[in-house]
Amino acid sequence: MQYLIDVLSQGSLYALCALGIALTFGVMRLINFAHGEFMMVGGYVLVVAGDIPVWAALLSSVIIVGFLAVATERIAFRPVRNADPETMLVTSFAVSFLLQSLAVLLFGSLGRSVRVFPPSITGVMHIGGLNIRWLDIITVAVTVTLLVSLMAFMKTRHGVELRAAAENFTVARLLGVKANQVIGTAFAISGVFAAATSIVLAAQRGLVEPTFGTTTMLFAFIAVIVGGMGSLPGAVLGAYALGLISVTSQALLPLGLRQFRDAFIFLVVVLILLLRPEGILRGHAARVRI
Amino acid sequence: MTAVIKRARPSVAADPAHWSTVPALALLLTLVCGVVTLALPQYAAVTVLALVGVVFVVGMQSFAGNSGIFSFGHVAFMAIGAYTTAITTIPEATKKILFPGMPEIALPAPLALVAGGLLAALVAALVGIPLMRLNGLAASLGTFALLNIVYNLANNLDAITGGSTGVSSVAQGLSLTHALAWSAVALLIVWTYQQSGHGLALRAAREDDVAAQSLGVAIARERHISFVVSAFVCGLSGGMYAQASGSFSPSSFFLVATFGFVTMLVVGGRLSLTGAVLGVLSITLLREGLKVVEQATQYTGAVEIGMSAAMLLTLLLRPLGLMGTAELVFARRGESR
Repeated sequence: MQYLIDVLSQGSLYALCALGIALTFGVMRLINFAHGEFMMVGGYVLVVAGDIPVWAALLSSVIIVGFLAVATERIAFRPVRNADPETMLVTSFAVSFLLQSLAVLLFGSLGRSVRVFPPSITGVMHIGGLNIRWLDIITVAVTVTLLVSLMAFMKTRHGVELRAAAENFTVARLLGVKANQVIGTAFAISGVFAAATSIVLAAQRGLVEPTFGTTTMLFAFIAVIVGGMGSLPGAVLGAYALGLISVTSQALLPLGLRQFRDAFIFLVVVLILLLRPEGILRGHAARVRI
Repeated sequence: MTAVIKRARPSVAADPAHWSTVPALALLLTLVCGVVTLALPQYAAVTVLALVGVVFVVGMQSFAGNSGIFSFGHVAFMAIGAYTTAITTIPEATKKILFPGMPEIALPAPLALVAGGLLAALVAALVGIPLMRLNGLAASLGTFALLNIVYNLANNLDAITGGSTGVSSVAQGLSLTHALAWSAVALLIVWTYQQSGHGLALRAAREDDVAAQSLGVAIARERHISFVVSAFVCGLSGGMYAQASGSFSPSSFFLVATFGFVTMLVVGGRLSLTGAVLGVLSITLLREGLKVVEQATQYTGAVEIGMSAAMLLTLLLRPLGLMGTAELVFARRGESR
């Protein structure tokens, strides 16, 4: 049971992050390395917000990161939209380093401490021998809420357009979907997910630094690849699978090998890329057309 | 019927095939070294490292430029070369005290470099078997996974690599002349590969994979060859780095280094050998200039911001980099190569 809770909590964190990445990959085949830096900005908003009420801090984080994501698309990604995916990948790499070095410039390279939630809800609950952190509950709750909202959104007009664009961008445009609008929407939602991830992550770590988002983002990438590029259900599935793998390997690997966990996980990635290059749930965007 | 989507590809009219590219680039580098030695001796160390960068980026170009696949994993080959050189050249006595777990192999300095290159090539030959079957994005991500695996191993195989603190007291013996000579060797290797039938076949596959395949190009095999050649050159540069700096750690060969080298290649022009060289020179110049600014204004981070800005501006304004597909050659006036 304890094990299951750890998997759920870890998987939910990856799922939040992976959904943000999968959304933008779906519509424009962009692997967004800068997503981790969106999360970092969200974390610093919480640091700067300091003593204002929790809801106001959370809201401003979501708004600012959402705005940042849309602005990044306008400035950096729109001009290279028609280039090959590798060029876009390199562009996002550059954006990522730019944001990171701006953070070093503004806040220094050392971490800043942050307290997202009041101490009363950071404790541990003991129910029948289980240790349930409030934070685990919040993580899972946030993920479920956002997932349900995303599913509801996908039923609306904008949501249908987004799905159509992820399916086949050219045909969607021919049918009257506005390219800029649909990509803007995808980035805005991706930003909201990044902000949500940063809130959970900041609460877990209590520290925000310029490389705040990097590790989580790398694992979320793996989740997206494993799950099926561009497929949203695949991203969620991949995230929980990864949560399972990382918690299990932490528990099962002998002590001497535990430090090589990351190497094992990346090895699994290579294997999956080989055996099923399109991921567990095949995303339509990943299909190569001639 | 599915819709037909033509991927935007860099289109290249003619192939760079002039004999004088390597001599011209070697002359350019010699001139740079001459100017530094005579006028700016305080920058000698920086220039040696820049030449290490030239070897690396030229090596990376031979894969990325000919195959069209961005690699995020080549720094791993640099790490392999650096560790090989360190292990084979640290004096026996020092090794006993500092790194008792290291294998007891000793090689003279130039051979150690070649050994590093060969080991990197061997690793590339092995990991390339699965990786080079992947296409486009998946291949880029696969090389990224390779980078992470090598980083994780270097960090944790404490007995052989010295763990996360890294290796120190490697004999520092890479002079400016040595570095220059190795750069010329690297240029020659990569140019020879580029001119070979294998290089041509791979460039054909880069331009249009389906057409190339129908003409009998075994894409995975051609990519694999290019991967091994470039790994050898990058391994060489790793050994040079070890001999130039004397000490390094696993984090010397991770994301920051990868970003720096990718920036150089993108800014210079990833389809051109001259672009690779010019990218290293111009980014090094920019970096040193910004360091002066940073010291004067006390703003830490100016260097990184300047470099990412340079890369972004290049991608937005001149997607194929400074050189595009052009190469530096000796040509008589009026003779268009």
